[in-house]
Amino acid sequence: MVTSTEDMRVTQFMARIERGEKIEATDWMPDDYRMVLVKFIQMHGVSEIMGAYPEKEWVPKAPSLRRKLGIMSKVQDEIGHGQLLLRVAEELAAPLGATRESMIEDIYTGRIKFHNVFHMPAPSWADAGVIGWLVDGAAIISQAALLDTSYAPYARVLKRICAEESFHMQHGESIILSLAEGTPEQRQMLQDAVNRWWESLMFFFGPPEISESARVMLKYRIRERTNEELRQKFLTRYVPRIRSIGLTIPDEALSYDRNKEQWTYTQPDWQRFGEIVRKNSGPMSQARIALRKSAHTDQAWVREAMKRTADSVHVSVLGK
Amino acid sequence: MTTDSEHSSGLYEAYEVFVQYDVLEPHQYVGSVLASSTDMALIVARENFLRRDKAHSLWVVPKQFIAVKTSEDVDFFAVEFDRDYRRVDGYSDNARRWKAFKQRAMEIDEVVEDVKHAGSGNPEEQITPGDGFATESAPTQKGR
Repeated sequence: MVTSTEDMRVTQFMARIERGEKIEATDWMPDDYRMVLVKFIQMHGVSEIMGAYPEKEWVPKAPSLRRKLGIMSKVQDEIGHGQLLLRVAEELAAPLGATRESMIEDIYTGRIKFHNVFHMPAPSWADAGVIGWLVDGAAIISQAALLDTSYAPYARVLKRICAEESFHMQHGESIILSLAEGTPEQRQMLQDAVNRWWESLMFFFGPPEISESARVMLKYRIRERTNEELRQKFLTRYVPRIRSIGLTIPDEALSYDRNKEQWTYTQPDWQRFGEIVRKNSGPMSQARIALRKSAHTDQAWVREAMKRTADSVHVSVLGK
Repeated sequence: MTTDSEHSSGLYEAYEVFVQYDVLEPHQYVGSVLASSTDMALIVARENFLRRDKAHSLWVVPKQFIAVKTSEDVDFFAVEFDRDYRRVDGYSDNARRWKAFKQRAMEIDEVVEDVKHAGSGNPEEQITPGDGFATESAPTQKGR
């Protein structure tokens, strides 16, 4: 009896998805739809926040005041995107008992993963440039592919994020163009950074095989492109540009197969990067997570004090 | 009201954010923030949504005070029968019928544009332009 009602609701829900309707937070949804969305959006939000760390390392060391202002704005955008995304995730996860606090705690208890690229070091200013150019470039491709997602609150947030990412794109390109136009040392610095990031970038899009959660996401039209399709799009857009400024891509097997209309490339070390993400065991994972943890725990008293003040001052507003 | 008891289990309250970008436009829903108070919600909303855009006014509303209906409730939003009698396109044959009287159908935009300028305007411009019989008939109308 219960099952048949449930089945009917699932059927109605699938019909909505297939009609191309968008789902709102208050609508009924199957558990696996909710679960897979919570995990995916929380990971996206947490990756935005952890993604600010490699770049924030360059705020005090930016080579000019304008560059400092630019990279500061970017760091602020990333944290802002994290906040927007966590709002969407925590609302979906509220029936499961999750809160903003628990979603942040998940970072340092290891219950949520974040993108492999943000576990890696950014030792030079060229790394800051390559993060803005290629890492953001890869992120923009994956986010743009989600704009049509069936979950409306996520789609709305992505629209805003993509609009701001267009600044990130120009910002990253501006940094790397300055280096590419510069001295042989600056060009070498840029080449070294590309060498450091290339394998991470290939890993970023995820394995070519379609995982179980990817299957659920395709079924519910949470996303419509596979990992491999997005990696191919990235290669088509960026390989010619990287080469046009005289840089070498550190993959001798990289070539475009005209017959298959596909790029052939060396597979990244799936095992090694997979472990970095699962165990937070990358070169910078623990240091950045420790910073995130101290930001959260050391300031817990501020959040509580603000809440207490608000409760005593704004009794009438919230009717409490 | 929505089932909101479950939403306030965290430390802070959720607020919905509305921005009025232009004084003559309505406030537009832009998203949601988590904050300790309405004052903080305004500040967080400015930081989240107005880092670049210029705005005229900003509202934050505790989420629990917003009642919701979505397209999930098909009946609520149903348009039970054709309502073209309420819309402009329900009267699209007017243009053809005016033409028979050698007149042009009027549109609201041109009226709005017209009243921006002083003076009575030219009655000849009301006649269907560029169309054989309209030009022929122009002197008759003028002579009236």
